[in-house]
Order: sequence, then structure tokens, then C-alpha cells
Amino acid sequence: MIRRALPHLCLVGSIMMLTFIVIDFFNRAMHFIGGNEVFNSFLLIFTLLVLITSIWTICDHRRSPR
Amino acid sequence: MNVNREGHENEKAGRGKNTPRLLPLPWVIVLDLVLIGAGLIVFALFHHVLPRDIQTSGLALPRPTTTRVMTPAATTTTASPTPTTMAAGTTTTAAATPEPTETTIDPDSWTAKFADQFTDGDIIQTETEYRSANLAVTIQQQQRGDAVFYLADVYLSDIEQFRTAFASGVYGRGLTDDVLDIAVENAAILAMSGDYYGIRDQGIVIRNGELYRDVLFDDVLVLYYDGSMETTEARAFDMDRILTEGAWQAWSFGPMLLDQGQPMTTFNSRVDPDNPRSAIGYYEPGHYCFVLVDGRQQGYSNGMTLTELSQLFYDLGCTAAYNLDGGQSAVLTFFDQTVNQPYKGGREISDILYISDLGAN
Repeated sequence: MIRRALPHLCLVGSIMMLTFIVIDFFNRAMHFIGGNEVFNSFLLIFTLLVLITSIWTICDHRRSPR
Repeated sequence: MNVNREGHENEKAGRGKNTPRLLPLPWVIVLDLVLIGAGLIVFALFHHVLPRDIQTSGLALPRPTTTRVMTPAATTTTASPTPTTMAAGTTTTAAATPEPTETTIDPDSWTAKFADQFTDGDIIQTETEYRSANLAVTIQQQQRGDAVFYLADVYLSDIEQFRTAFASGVYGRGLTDDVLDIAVENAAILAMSGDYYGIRDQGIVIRNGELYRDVLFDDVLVLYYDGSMETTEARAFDMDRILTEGAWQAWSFGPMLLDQGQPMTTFNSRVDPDNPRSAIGYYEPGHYCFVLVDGRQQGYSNGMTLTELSQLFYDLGCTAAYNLDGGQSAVLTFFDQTVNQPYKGGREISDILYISDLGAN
């Protein structure tokens, strides 16, 4: 279950990240990214998700027959 | 080779038996979109709404004793309530003391300098004007191109009449209120939306002589105790210097709109299209203007670009000008009335700057 959900969570996180980057590009004063506590927490969670997904995916590839 | 292929097929067959049925692709897409929406809402909740970092007071900054300090504009032979409320002391004392006392006005004071703007003690109040012995505020509606803007011209007799206020009366992230409500709570005569410091973790925040945050963000506007106003780019900002020279207020939003008194065409901001704007201009110590530009309202006012706003301040004769939080936040109030037509009725924000009449109050 977790294994199936992880890629979707990464997808959600990456689209959220892109949204923040676009908004921040147009209105830096809103301070959506960079030095923002909430964003930093989100970034940490997102990075961990990507890390776990990546490791899992690499292990799967190594296990699967060529 | 054959063994391997058979093994692989057996493995696939086995996995097929154990794997639950996958959701149809449209459902997966919808669920992901819902998750994205929920994620953004949760982010906005923590970023915008939930209060945190509450401070009931900041670090009190000492009023400098160097020549940069503005001496009281008017003094009486009786002592003023505080050393900094010169005009208030004058009016109140004159009314309460049975025996008239000799009043002398410092010729270098703002009271003397702007004497033609102030009254002898009467208070003149109309829908667009307020004059007393200590303060003069006049508001004009003007049109420039397809933009309607309000120009509030302000003459002070004391820097402490130029004040700021927080939503709920305390510093904190996520605390917001209507500009008019904050203005009424603080008995403001004229008030305008501030820099919405509460939306960010960064940006210099000095309010009414107290330092709340000293994390640099972008262009900074500093109002000193002597009434002078200075805009500074982030890279040139020197916190020690402004504290030494006596900062009374400091805002972080920007961008700065005049470069050494000259209009600008490039800015430290990407929010350049036509927009509602709130901005402040500086002529000389004691003389300022608030400019509120309505916008995003077809048939009434489209707003101004930063370039147009910069040119406006240059044409007004200001020597420094600074953009504050605009868009839906841009609101100007006069006593208990909203002067402009805010986009979508305005929004709750975290702070205002306002003018109060120490003498009249």
C-alpha cells in the first residue's frame, strides 16, 4: 500500500513545489519559498519521500530479472 | 535461458494473483489532483492563517541623542506629559490650566515650519480634510490615465503622530484584521495598509520605536525619529547604522520607487503590471503623502504599474517613495470611513500605518 502511494505523494509534492516556485516568481513579497518555516518543513518531507521512493525503485530494478 | 524465461513468467503470474486490482487511470488522476489541492490548502493554512511567533512587545530602541533627533516642536512653560509629546502637551495644558502660560514655539520646529497648515487651536474636520494645531491632513481623489488614486497630504508637528499598529494589537504571524477595524481601534485619523509583515518570516520590522524582527528581506523603508525617511536596497542595508541614527519605523515590502529623487523604470519586484497600490512618499521631515491607487476594476480604475507609480511620486515632488502591500490589501481610511474602493472589498492584513493627532486626542 505504502509502496503504491509513495510515487503519488512524490507527484503531489513536486506539483506543489512547482506551484510555489511559479507564485514566488511573480510575487516574492508573499515569501512562499526560501527561509520560510512552513516551506522548509514541506521541503524536508518532500525530500524524504523522494529519497525513500528512489531507494525503493532502485532496489526493485536490481531485483527484477534483466 | 529457458529456465530463466519460465521463472520470470511464473513470477509475473504469481504477482498478478496477489496484486490488488488497480484503480482506473481517471480515478488515479482525480485522486492525485485532490491530494494536490489538499496539500496546498494545508500549506496555506500554516503559511497564512494559523497564528504563531506572538510578541506583545519588541526590543525598545533608544531615541538617539545626536543631532539627528528632532527637538520638540513646541514647548510651554509647563511640563509636557512626556518629552516626546510636545504638541499634545501644548494643547492639553493650555486648556486645563486656568492661568494662561507663556507659550514659545521653537522656530526650527515643525509647528513653526508648517504653521500655515495648522490652526490656532481649532479643529477643522470635513470629509476630506482635518486640521488642528498639531496636524494637517487633506485627501484628494485624482485620475491619472485609467487609474483613480487618492492622495493624502500629511503635515505633522511631531514624529510620534506617524504611527503603526498591528492586528489584534500584538506582533505575530497569521494575525490579521480589517484595515478599518485596526484604524478605529487606534483612533487613527488617516490609515493605510502596511507591509503585511505577518505573511513572511523575513523582513525588517521596527514599529513605534521597537524592533520586532531584524531579518533582511528586500528593499527597506526607514522613518527616523528626526522625520527623515530613507529607502535602502537590501544589499546596502546596515542595521547598526539605522539603529544608531534612530529608527522610529521600518517596513519591508517594496520596492523603493525613487532613486535619489529620480523616477525609476526597473524595480526589485516582478509585480509590475497594473495593480491596486498603496505607497508612501516623503517630501521633507514632517511632510509626507499616502497614495492609494484603486485597480483591477474595469470601468473605474485599472491600477498602476510600478513605473507609473514612480513617475507619480516624482511629479508630486517627493524625494523618496516606497511601495507597500497593494492588490486586494490596498485600503485607505479616514476616521471611521474607507476612502477608496478596495478590490473585492479588501482583505484582512497584519498591520497598518496611521496618523494620529496627539493634541486632539
